Amino acid sequence: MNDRRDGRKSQTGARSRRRGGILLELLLAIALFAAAASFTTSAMRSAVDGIRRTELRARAFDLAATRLAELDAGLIAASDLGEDRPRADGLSVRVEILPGAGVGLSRARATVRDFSDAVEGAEPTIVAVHERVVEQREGVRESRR
Amino acid sequence: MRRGFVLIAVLIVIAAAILVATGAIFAARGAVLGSRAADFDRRLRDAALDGVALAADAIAAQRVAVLAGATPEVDAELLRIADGARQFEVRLVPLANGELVQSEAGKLDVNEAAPSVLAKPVESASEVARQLIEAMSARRPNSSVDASIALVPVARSLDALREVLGPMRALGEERDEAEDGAARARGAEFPPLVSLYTTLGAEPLVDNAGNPRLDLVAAFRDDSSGGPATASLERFEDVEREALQALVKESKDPLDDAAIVRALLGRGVALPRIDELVASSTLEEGTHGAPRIDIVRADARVLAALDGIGPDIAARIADLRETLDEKERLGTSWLVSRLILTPEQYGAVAGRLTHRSALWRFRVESRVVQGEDGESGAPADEPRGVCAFDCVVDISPESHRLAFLRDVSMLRSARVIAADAVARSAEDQSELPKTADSSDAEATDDGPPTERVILPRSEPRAIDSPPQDATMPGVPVRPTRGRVSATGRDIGGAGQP
Amino acid sequence: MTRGFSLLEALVGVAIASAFLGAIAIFTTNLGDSRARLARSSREIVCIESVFGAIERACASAVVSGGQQGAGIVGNETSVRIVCSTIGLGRDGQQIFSELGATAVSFDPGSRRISLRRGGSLDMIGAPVREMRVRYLAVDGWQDAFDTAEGAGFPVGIEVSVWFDRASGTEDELPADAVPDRSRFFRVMGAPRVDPLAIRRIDREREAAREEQR
Repeated sequence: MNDRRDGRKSQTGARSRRRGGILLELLLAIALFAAAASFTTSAMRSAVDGIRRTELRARAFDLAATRLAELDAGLIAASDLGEDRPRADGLSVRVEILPGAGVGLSRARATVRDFSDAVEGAEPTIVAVHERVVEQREGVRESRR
Repeated sequence: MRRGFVLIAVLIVIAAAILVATGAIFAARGAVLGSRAADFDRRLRDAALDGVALAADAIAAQRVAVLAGATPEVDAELLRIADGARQFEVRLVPLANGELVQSEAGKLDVNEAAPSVLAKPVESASEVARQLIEAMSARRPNSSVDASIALVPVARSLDALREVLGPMRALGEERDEAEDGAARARGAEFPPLVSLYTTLGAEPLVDNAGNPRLDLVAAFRDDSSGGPATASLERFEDVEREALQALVKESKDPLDDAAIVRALLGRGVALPRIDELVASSTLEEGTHGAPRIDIVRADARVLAALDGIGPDIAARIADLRETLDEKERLGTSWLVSRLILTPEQYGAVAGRLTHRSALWRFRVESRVVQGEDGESGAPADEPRGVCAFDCVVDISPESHRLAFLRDVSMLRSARVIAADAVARSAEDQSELPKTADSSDAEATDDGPPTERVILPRSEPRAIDSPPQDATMPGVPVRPTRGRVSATGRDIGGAGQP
Repeated sequence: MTRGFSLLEALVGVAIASAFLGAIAIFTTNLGDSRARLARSSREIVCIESVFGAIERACASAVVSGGQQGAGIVGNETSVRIVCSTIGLGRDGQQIFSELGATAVSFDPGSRRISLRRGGSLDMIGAPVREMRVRYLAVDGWQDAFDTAEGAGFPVGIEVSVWFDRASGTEDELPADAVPDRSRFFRVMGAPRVDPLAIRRIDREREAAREEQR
């Protein structure tokens, strides 16, 4: 009778040790996974952020360069300049003419702002600034010099 | 269930996730860095193009003075753009003769002049130069003299580069004073071919004030109908009108403007008046006429090559042209009044001479400098770069025109690559000719040895044309009168209001 | 008693395991999505960088007539070829120090890819593109094709717009007023400016187009 009691006690001990082992293993696995997941997720998030910012900057530059090229081409006149309405993607461009570069030329600067995630009342962020020397049309509908 | 199974499974999942994430992150980072580098390149190029626009504008601002015979004066520094800690600096680079702008009218037109005339200035030059001129004469129309370097075999391309464009300091580096002095001393040696030859020699038919010249043929032909044609003839005295009318009515062949000079000289018209009339009227039609050499700015060798002017006369012209007064500068008749040519000789060549230049060549370079005072020691991780453009501006129309614009930023890299190709072709022939040695030395002097590019072996091409073309152009295409050459940016101003 | 687990232990174990597996599943899905988005964005950025960059570089020193290389600027709605004056580097079929070289960008609707040809070498750019449209601004208005050999000189400018192929599966026709994903107007150096008299007509056309959309 004593043997049977001892066997059960040893069995219970072995079982609890093994259960503890499994639990420890599981906890270790969960902890490792949580650490790796958080690390990976944050790395991916920063990469996605970087790419999104790069794309935004590239699109903003497209807008600024296009606007300055249109000004140089004569499609828009200096008097038609001012802040543009924000486009569908939230970007808006403003062109200003800086004082004289040459006889027939001026320096124009295009500033692109992002209105998409601007908080109410806060200044929209400047995404791109581009400056070129442009040939300028005098007035609105005058003929070419 | 083995021990540790769960742990191993989780570790495998984590490893896979990290691999996937790393791949994607690196691709994204590549795109971001590429975008930033392209941004920098673009800003450099935009700055250089702005510099070109400003330089052309500065020359065009002096249009009336230049068309009357002056040389434009420009500042070397064109533009400075601040960008954080660094600055983009754009400036005009001195050309081979040390000047910032160079007249194109003082050069022989390789597409128009006779091959014998073209060969004369290089008679005393090196063999490569003669080879280049022959190649250009045979292969008309040329798009530019600069392009002729590609007409010789690759093995001689470095010599050709030096002959055509002259000894150049590497783009983007400061020119040191000693080299400048040496270059000027070397100026007694043969100048680069680009200073003697051009493809843009066609003379714009505008007068000293920039207005279109009177087309005499059209004016006299419409004489009977009256109206504006008659009005434009008011400017002539009776003697002059008779002379010109006789000239127009009687001759059948296409004339050059020397005939005007001869007709007026024959009637005894005064030399300054001849200058005035030749400058304001013409027998040729269109916006551009036959090429004429600017005798004030042409090299003596170019003048000596013209028929009717030999080396002695050219030397005397070169001596006397510094001493001209204001009135004499308005025309070429001082050749007679200063007793360099007889009236007969002058009447023969006057149609190929002019006193001014409407096309001017310059080079603009933009680079990055650090700090306020322009030291160029950039930290290791900052991008360096140079962007340069060669440009020729034509100020004869009301709004100036860029007749030639070439992106020469890669000149330095091309020289390194060519040095490599030359060295390889020299090795292939298993002998080392002198030229390969000296060009090798020149190439490695330019920059750190790490700049040498290792290229896969490839056959150098001998012709600059797409492979589909089986034949070279047989008959040289002669551009029609009133338009400039068929290649390049020139369309003779046709269609420009 | 056998060496089994009690019901409570089994339930707790299953719960923890399923929560764990769920977390893994969510994490993996998110990772997959992010990776796809990153890959797509990087491809698109690189694609546009090469296309717009090549056109911009070519427009800076374009020529009106390239002699043997053909007309300076030739193009239609889906492709454009520009001959420009630069320094040949001995690759892409150009000899070292040669002057003229051609850059061509064209869009193939069948394979939905843009290809970039510089001299002799052809690159197919990897990003899937739904449509690329090129328009040319001449002195008197917008055109869908251009050829400098027809004597008009340079166009005032070239506008290139790209719509990317983002949704999976086949796409129906692009609606006429869809905003391009990337678009830019390039100016050729030294090109003429728009005739002021034509501007009124261009403005009117633009207004009419905008009215139609509403």
